[in-house]
Amino acid sequence: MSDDRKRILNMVREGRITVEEAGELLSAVGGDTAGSETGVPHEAVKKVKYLRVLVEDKERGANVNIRVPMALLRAGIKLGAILPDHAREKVDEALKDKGFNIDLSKADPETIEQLITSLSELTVDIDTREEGKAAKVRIFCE
Amino acid sequence: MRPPAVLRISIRSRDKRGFGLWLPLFLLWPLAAVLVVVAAPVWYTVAFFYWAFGEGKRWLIMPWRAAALVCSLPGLRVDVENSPDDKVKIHFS
Repeated sequence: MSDDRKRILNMVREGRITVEEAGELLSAVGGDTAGSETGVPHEAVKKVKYLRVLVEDKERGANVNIRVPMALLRAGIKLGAILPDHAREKVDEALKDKGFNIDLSKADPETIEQLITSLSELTVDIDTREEGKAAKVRIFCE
Repeated sequence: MRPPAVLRISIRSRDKRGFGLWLPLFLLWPLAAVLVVVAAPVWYTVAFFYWAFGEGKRWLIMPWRAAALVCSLPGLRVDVENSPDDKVKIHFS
């Protein structure tokens, strides 16, 4: 993933820009990547079907393995965008509490598609080894 | 895209007791189809009345988006293992 894309996704995560603005920025920086309108190569867009979250805590012997279909993410965001205002406000507040400053009402299909295809390049690896504790978190798309 | 056909739930606790459920969701498809046929006229009548308040389009689209959400469930897997003897698995297929 290019530095520009990482920076934009970080700005969304930190709530400094809206999803809509992120979509525009991603479109703007997409020109440097050959392949598709969203700047993500066609091969990556075709292959990615699932968002995976793996958590491994060797000390406790705990493991979490979650596989979320990308189609489910897409459908969930689209449904969230047409929820009644009072319900959507509650969803937005809950997301904000979790650190996602996203206004679902502004999530049009094109923006959603751009964000999800951008997610296809996302890989987060966190490996903690402190005082004998060993925990590993992996978030990626496959 | 199709609705989930099978839901598998497997729970195993520390005292070695556990159970596995294989829920044939495809058996609910005909029931759901009947419900949709019965509810659709009522739903669209409500949408028609809400049109005056600018909310009609939302009511028209909502069932389709909700159906899309349900049809996206196949492939969803959640496996949580607190210890080798304490596991919960939920799979939609």
